[in-house]
Amino acid sequence: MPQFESLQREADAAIGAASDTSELERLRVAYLGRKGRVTGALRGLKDLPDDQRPAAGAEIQAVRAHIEQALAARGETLAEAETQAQVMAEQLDVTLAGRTLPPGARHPTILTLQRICDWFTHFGYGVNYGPEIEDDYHNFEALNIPPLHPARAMHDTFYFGDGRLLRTHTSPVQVRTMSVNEPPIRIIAPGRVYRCDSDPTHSPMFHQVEGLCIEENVSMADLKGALTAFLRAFFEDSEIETRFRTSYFPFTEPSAEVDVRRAGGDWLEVLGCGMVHPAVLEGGGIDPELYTGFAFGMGVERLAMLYYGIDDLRVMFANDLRFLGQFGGTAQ
Amino acid sequence: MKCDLAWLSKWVTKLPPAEDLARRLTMAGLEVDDQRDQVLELELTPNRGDCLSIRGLAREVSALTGADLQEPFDPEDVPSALKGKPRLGKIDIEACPYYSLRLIEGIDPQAKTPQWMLDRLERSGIRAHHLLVDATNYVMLELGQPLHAFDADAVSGDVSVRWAQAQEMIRALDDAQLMLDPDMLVIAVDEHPIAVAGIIGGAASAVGEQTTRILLESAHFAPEAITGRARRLKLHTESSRRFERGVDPRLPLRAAQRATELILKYAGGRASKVAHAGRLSPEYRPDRIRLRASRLAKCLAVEVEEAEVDRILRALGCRVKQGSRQWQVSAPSWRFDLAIEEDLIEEVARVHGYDRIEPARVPLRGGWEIPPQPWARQLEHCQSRLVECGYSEAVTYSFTEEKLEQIFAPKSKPWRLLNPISKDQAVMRSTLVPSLLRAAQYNLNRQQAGVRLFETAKVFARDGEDVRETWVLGGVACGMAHPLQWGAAARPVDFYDVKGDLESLLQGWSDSLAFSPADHPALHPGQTACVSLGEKKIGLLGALHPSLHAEFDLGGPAFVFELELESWSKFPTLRFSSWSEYPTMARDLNVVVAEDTPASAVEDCVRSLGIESLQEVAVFDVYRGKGLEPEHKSLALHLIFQSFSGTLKDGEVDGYLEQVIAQLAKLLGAETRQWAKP
Repeated sequence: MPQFESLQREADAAIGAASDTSELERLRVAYLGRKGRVTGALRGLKDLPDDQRPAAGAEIQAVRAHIEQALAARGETLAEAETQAQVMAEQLDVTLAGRTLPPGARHPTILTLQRICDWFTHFGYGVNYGPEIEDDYHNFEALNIPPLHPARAMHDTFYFGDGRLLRTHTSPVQVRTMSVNEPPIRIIAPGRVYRCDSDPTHSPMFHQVEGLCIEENVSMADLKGALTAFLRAFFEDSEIETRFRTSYFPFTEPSAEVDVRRAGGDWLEVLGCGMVHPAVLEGGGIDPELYTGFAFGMGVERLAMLYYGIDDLRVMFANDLRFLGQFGGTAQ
Repeated sequence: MKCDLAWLSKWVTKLPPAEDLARRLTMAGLEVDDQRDQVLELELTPNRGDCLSIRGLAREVSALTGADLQEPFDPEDVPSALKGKPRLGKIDIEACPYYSLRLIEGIDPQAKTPQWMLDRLERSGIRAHHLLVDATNYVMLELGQPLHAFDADAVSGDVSVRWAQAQEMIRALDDAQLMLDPDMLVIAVDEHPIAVAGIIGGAASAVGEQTTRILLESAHFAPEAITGRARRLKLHTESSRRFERGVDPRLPLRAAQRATELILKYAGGRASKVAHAGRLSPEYRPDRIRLRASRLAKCLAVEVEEAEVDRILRALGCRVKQGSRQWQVSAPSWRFDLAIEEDLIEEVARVHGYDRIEPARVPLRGGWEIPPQPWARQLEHCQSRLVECGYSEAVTYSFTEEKLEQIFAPKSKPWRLLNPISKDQAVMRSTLVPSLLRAAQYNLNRQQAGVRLFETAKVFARDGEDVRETWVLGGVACGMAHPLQWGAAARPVDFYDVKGDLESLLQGWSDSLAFSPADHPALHPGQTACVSLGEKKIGLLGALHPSLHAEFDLGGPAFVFELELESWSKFPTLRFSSWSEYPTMARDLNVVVAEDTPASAVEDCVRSLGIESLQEVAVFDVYRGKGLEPEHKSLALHLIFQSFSGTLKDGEVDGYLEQVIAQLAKLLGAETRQWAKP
């Protein structure tokens, strides 16, 4: 029937001319909505004679289907164009910096201290701290360094004038541990130590980690084993060479200094160690005939400097953000 | 100690090449620091005074390499050509077990030190003076015995060895005036000290260009009588270095003979008999030490053959008596450091070679319980959280300026160092804050726009007579809040930035965390909060007092905090809790209150109603100014309601709001207006 054909033509033209999805929505309502023209035509069917009604009905349904399809097709085209336009309008300069409060950074000395502690705690070492203001007994005498012992000259000590002093090493923690713990003992003692000495290669305060292991039948082979494994892990180099050479500490006998050498490099001194001196064990109430032990001590700043390739001790205490900022990139 | 290898080779047959020798010595405990032109620079440990001579090193090299020792000169004494001998007074035999003097007369004052001796002295790092001094130095380097030559014309009277009197003075060879202590040993004529025994000679009796008669002193001073004194006198002489570590007590006579021989040969003259007091010690040290094969094996975990043990000990000069699986060992007179079994074990180990001990595998036998490390966990928590908040970790000195301690802890008396390195490191700090402010200042002075620093360390206080050491976490933030960036307006850091950082740090404790107004002499009276967890005060947060800005030259406000770590080292146990799936309903209120009403009071007032479905109360804006009475502020409050039992109806929530408005009016006199419903 002609009026339906013209309705369809009209709709086609309007849909084809629609320029955006909201106009298309208006057209949908105008033709297919409750008060729309196609809906109205359907509603008009009831006024037709019975014999015309089925054919007219079929025709209107066909028109309706056609318009729906046209709306959908046009809708798709317009939506795509609109998304495209939106995307074009939302271009960002991805090279502009991100918005952030940049994280800070850890101090390489403390990171190193923790790496050392982590390794030893994995092997069952507990962590003891001990006081930093010590007395002569724990810092010297109990470690087999009586007054006037020449080794005292190697420890430039800060005193308070009342018998107290700033500990010159973390070794007094050995004595304090032995006085309260029964063997077997495995501890490390990280912390600050002090020497009355200040020049480009000496700081009046620095960090050490002490270690103590006392059991039945601990030998120098165990000492070498533990420290060799530690140094390989610390320097992340399974090929690193170590050498234990004879040295002297009043509180160990035999004593050794440990050097490491990486491929093509020189020997570098990294720590001191030895078998706990029987006088020190006895002072701690431990029978040296029943138990033996090893002890070691390392300078944390020195290890940090070797690990990170830092060549100036003073930067370790300046807290310059240009320095600290370099240690923020990773967990270690 | 410098060792001239050409000289050493006169004392040992078949010296290994320098490089090889340096390595062997280093491994055996005589560290070679440097090696060039056939001179080894040795860094000796204090127990090896016996190696402070060519002869001592030769003995060591012989033990290490098996090469034979040889005597390069005739050890016989020259015949005496003078009648009589020097007169000795009272000698303190305990401090000076052997003392000898010999007079040499008719010395040619023009005599020159022979070139070969000058060369050896130079290669050993000893400055040449003049023949008499050079000869005594030479013998000291050769044999290890310090000698002293007095100008005999300046010494009239009996020579004695005694303790100094308090505040006794002597002008030393280097022209320094020394004031002596009563525990310092002196050589004296009549009442006058002419030398500090074993340390330095006096200027008055020094030999010089005119000297024709000398008294040659060769003595053994006990290490206990010398140690520490040179250091106290701020002296460090070749002689004191040797006597402190112990000189072979059998040497004096031999050294005197050798020096006499050299002086007579190159300067002419005639020698008297030796006058001596005390006696030369026996060849071996008196105590015998037992070394058990079982102990050796236990300590080293390496099998050293008995014959090898025997060889090593003998090569080191010990007298050895072998028993069944054990040895009775007498140490030679020059080895002061061999006293117990472990000392011998070290000797065997180092000569045999530490490198022959195979490292054992870790872990050692068996598994070990790993002890809990709550403390490490807390430290790591602080460190990682604050780093996330933009803080960098500082390490500052534990000592600080007394002035700063007084400002930050005016009531306490700090632990003061007796011998500080400088005035700004004079006392132990009781707070980290001033040190961190100094570090911030350092960075701002180097053009950093913003600084955030933290440190974990101990601080020191008095507890009666005792020291109280406390672990604290300190922090400082100053300058810009964040780096210059395009998307955020540049602004200085403020109180609430830092408070937010602490809230983030203490997020796990948020149920009991509270900030309340507080004061502190170094902090801004209106911008300081006490941080507490429940009833427990754990620290302070605040702005530096404006009157201190000049002291730290910060150019703007600085915010600092310090928390005691031990007071919250126990981590809350985390427990899962479920949540409601029903929708939330949000309402906003404007609450007008007097300026001095804290936000926390408004929040507490709302919560005091105990409305079960009230999930959250938060202030999201603060307004002051137009439309409000003076001294009043308007807080915008965001309330979130949610029930666990069903979807809340508008009416229910409206009812709650009425209660809230009434409560605010009742308790705080607040005028409250509801925002349009969302």
